[in-house]
Amino acid sequence: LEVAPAGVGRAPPGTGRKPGQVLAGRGLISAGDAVPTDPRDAVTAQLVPALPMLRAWLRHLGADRDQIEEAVQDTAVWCCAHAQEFEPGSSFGAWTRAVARYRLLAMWRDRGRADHRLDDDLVEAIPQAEWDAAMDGVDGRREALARCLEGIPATARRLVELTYRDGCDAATVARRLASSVNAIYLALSKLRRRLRTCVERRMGAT
Amino acid sequence: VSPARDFDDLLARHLDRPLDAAGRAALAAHLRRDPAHRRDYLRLLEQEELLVAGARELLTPSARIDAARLPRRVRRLPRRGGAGRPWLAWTAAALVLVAVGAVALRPETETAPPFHARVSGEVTVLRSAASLAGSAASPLRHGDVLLARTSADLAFPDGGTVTLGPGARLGLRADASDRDGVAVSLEAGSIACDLPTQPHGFTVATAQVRIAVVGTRFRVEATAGDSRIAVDEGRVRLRSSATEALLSAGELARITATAITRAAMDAPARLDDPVRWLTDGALAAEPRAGGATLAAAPGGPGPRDQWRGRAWRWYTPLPADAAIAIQARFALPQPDDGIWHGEVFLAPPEAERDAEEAQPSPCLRLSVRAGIPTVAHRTTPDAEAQVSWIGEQLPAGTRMLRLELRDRTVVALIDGRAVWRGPVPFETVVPGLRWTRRAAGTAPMRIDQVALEPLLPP
Repeated sequence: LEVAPAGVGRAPPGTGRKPGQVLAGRGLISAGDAVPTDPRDAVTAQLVPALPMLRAWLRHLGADRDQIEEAVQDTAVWCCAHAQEFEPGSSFGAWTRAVARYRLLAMWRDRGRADHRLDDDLVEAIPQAEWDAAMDGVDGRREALARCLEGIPATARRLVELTYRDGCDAATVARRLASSVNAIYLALSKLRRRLRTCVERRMGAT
Repeated sequence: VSPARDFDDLLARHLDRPLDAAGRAALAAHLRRDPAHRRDYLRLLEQEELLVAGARELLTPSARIDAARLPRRVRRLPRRGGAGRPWLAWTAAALVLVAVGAVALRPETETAPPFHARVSGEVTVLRSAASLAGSAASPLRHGDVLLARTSADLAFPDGGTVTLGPGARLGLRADASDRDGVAVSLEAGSIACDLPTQPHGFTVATAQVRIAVVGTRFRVEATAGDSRIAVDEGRVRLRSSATEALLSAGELARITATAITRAAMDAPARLDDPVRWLTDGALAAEPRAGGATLAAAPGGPGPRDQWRGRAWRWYTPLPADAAIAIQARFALPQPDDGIWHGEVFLAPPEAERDAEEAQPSPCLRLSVRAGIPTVAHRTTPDAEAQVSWIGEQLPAGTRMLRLELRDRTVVALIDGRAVWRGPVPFETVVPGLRWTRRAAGTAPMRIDQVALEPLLPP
């Protein structure tokens, strides 16, 4: 993550660096060197596209929205600090999911959550290989989703804004729109299906 | 109830809040039963997280802080009262200190009184959870919410206009403090107002500020985190939870929940101004007392893979309990178009020994490299940088990076959204910014605005 311009002036005293060399990651690079290969850079590069499915994993484990945010950050920082522990060639997704699972459980335990265990039946209902397979192509789906959102009607857009931008739960959305919670569940289900179909269609068209 | 409907219902509840034991068992049974259900479930979970994580960006591209996105200056309208200069009739209005919540913007009922204005352009009118095309919504009613698709005009009987920028969301509300007054609430996006002298009050409210006018031309851009106001003619009075201020023609202000910072528009950049500007990658200012240093990029064309970098740094140390903000607006190219890096930082004074290297090694910084934002700090030149926060990849485009220092605490913001908060690790600091790119791509890495602002005490 630490990259500085090469070949810019002299090195600071006491750093052991030569003119034209600067720190990059934990090593030294010079003008003309290849892209730095700090393991933290490699982990970060893999981590960022993996974040949506990492969030999905935490949701699957039973975390609420705030817990997901915190556990994802905790996991990202931990993975970055322990980048050298990741074995190249092994499943990056499985590694981050294992870390996230541990961090979430630790969070629940530290906060005294009454039931800080996982529901193994639900956790194991989806094989890890299927989680890995689901990670491919997220950038394309993100782009397709953005396009699909442009085409939804105003009422659906309002629903999306309240639910996702403003972070309202279904009960709050129901109050704001003078509707019932069940009606909001139904409307959200239809919207999700519609968006998913749209994304699949766009992905199929490319 | 069909199995598919049952699954959807279960999923909707699962995505709303964690399921109870019975719900989890039912969901697990569904997932075990059918691989197609599992694929479907994983895609919907991913879609949900993309929506949660990116809702603001996906829904309102105009929410990005970007003064350049304010509407262009509005045309001058004939003024009522002939040759008089109506904005001179400005009088201060006593205003209620209110942060406008989303609840206040909800569409009201069909029985609400008419709002005396006409709307034109590509606009959707939201009323009681229904949506109407702009032309079908006439007459407008108090409680309506206008959602501009591209741009739209709201024309008042007295000749005044409010132009909505693309994506703007404007609520039409009765002004409780003035029976005959006009009040609008800008929830997101930007508007440009051109208003002749008002016999009654005209107010624009955002989440951070209430703006009172009598006759003037001004522009407003609002996000969840801040509001920006630029006055082209006349004056407006701003009142927020932090303070109040009078803004005159040629001035702009940025209002957050805790501060109002203001600067002159189009003024020559000076280092002792509260806001300074960079243009075309060069510092548009001369060093003065308390000023800045600009480290030059390596001269001349270099090898293909050479890093090009520049850094800007305030050279007067500030105490760690100072209240200041450093921000820079970067135009980020596509991540695969070369490798580039932009950052704002706070560094200790001893880091100045690295001045010619364009990068003070010990620093706390908010950076974006190849689209990935991080907050990290390094305590000594040879220490490893400790990463405290990693964000999701940002799309290419204009991004505002900002560090706010107050009460020995630093808050990092991206596009106005706070992403990290922590203690400042140094006793005294020099703020600065840096941008580099590896010349492998074709798109330039540009920075076109930098500001060092004193923050007002809360």
